[in-house]
Amino acid sequence: MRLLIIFFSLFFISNTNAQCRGFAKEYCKKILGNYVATGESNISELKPGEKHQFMATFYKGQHYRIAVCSDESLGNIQFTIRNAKRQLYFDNHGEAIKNFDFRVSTTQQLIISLIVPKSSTNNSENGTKEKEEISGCVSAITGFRL
Amino acid sequence: MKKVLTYIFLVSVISCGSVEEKKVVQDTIYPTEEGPSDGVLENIYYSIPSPIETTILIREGGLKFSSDLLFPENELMPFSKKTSTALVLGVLSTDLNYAMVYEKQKQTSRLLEEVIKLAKQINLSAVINDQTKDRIDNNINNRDSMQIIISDQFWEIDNMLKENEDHDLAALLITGGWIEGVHIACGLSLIDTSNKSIKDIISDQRIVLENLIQLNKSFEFNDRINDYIISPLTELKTIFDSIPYPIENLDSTSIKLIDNEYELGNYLTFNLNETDLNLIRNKISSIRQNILIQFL
Repeated sequence: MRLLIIFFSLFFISNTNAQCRGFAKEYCKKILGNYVATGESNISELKPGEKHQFMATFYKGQHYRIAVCSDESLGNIQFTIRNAKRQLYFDNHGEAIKNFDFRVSTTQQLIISLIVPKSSTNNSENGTKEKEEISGCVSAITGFRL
Repeated sequence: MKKVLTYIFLVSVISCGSVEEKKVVQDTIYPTEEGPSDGVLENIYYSIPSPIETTILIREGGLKFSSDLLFPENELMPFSKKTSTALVLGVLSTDLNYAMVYEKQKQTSRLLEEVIKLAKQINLSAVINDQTKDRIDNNINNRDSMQIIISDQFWEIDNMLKENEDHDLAALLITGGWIEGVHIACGLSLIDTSNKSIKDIISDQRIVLENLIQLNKSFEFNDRINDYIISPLTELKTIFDSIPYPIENLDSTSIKLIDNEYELGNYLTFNLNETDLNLIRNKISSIRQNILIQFL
């Protein structure tokens, strides 16, 4: 029985992972516009209040765009950019700003955080319970300008 | 349209130095209000620049193409382990990018065939296949289109490996690609000794290597990968760490709006001396030699 539960859990995780990757390809890449994706995508399935963060290196001399997208059910996600010392450079404060264009004066690492708001757009009668159970895809793609 | 207007509005407000409470781009840098203060980051993922970025920087640095730096042409037999395939695929992918950005059609064509062959061995035929080759062949005289096609393919490869839960293979693909990129940069630094930009590219790899090692720490690789790749990379990190770097002045960390684009961070200048460069060059050369001897 335990094996069955593990099997179905793994199947479910793998399936949602694939869905989120498809989601990023479908919606997030468009936000990159004429910027070219830099090899890797950062994709996660999150619940309200959860956070996905990644550290990436940005080269001096390149022009970058970070494009962020998420399932509508999660509401507008908060998107921040900090330096390696965690000093804040950019914060969309959960507004509908889905991308940020920038360059760096010196090659450096930046920490990109995607935070799902605690209060979701869910207005059903069973609000609290559903808020806990709701989850959706969140993705950030970095692109550079050719 | 509404989103665009919101963004333009917010950016204009900031540019005009308004006292708007919610600043999207910070004009003053604040210490963080989140996370631990000991520098340890919780649940963080590490993202490594793609090989194409490095090869573009090399080209923009005014360096010439050298076919001698490419991985030797081999009759690539199927590898017994997928990890070896992923590692060598990464190496050849960087070579492919390098040949492509310099518009070397013969090498691009040959390397693309090898990449497709290896990709098949780790079930990536759905994303990189003969159709990819046709698309590239049709755009062989249009470098920008080729770069877009190849970058997209690598994004798809990474995506598919992760979709298949082959995160370890994705990490090794990146690792192989990074090793080859540094090898090319170190080789070029010997050919064009007066070029400052190639030294900058090499010294910048200190930061990338840090992330690469963190990324690889998440996986349990076999002994061959550990002994011939991961451990020597850690030794390479020790070499980079021993080089004195300028200390960033936190008070002067800045964001500037230049030509309608934000520029983040301080200007730091760093001069990599010949002794350090030699140490890096020797170590990367020995790691690449390991790939040739141990994995082919």
